[in-house]
Amino acid sequence: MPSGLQVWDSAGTLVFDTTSADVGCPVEVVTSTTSSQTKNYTAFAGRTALVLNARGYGATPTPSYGSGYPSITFPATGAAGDKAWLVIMY
Amino acid sequence: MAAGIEITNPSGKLIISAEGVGYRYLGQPTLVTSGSIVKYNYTTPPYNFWYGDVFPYEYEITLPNSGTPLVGVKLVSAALVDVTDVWRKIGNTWGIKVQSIATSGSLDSINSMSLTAPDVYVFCPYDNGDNTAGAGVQLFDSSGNLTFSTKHKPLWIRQGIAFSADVATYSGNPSYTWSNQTLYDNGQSASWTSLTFPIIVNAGGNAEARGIKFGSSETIYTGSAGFTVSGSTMYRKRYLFQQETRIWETDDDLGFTTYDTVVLVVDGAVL
Repeated sequence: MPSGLQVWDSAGTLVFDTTSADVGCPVEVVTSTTSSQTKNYTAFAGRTALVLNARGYGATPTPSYGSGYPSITFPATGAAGDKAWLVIMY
Repeated sequence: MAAGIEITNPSGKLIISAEGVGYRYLGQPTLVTSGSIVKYNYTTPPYNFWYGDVFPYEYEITLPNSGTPLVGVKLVSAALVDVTDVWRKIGNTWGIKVQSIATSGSLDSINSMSLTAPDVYVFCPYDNGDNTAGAGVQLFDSSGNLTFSTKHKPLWIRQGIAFSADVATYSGNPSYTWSNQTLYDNGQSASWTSLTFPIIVNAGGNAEARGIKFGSSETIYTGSAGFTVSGSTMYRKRYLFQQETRIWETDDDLGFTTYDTVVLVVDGAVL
């Protein structure tokens, strides 16, 4: 293999190959709260964040990078836990 | 990152990080209630039409930890699928609702719609209970939490397919004009690299469709959007899930709003 990591299961099936993965690293699923929340992803300085709507409708939060690392403000929602966002770094 | 391991793909994209909360395959959830279509025929003259509701398939699954699941659905040409709800029922047990409308019939006429059971797959975060000694690779974050292990099949995201925000509207009386009727009629499409067993994660349609009675704010029908595929094209299309006891007439208004979303494609053949 040229680089990266490959994983086979005990039956010899390739179940993971970083060379053919085209979307980045799932970091966490953020569940909504009744007040807005800002999360700073300092461990991912220099990386780009992708926020997906894992549960619930509407626009997804937009990351900012003013401090050199992704920072994401998740909006308040009507009921805690009624939405969730998947944060991916790449 | 200050310490630990990062693994990137040949394009330099970060794929694994010790500081990430990695996800791995858990299993298929248990079917709780099959999807159904409950419809009625309104026959008071001069009208003759059908109304009712399309109810999603409901599943449940218990995670081995307190994390949040990611739900995947097999992408097929025979159905339009939409993950409509994922919620914590009690403890680590989660509920999942999936609409799955057969594409062989209508997507927006309740009398000619039909359902086809979806194949649902669930991924969950690693936790220290997934640690295994003796072989393989395990990654831990700076707090000692397991973030990747070869003990389980990792979430292997092959592609991310983006669908953009867009709006279609039909203004009835007095203008009778369409804006973006193509979106309303045909939905959105995107190219993807075909897999024999694609599973899509983040498969909520992220869209709203409405019909509003002229001269009021009364809803005639309510819809959303789901995903289907044909060859190398993936589609996000509108479907109906509630038809009120009103029939749409040309004086009424229609609207279809889609939101930005990215659908993640996982290879189900390896699960």
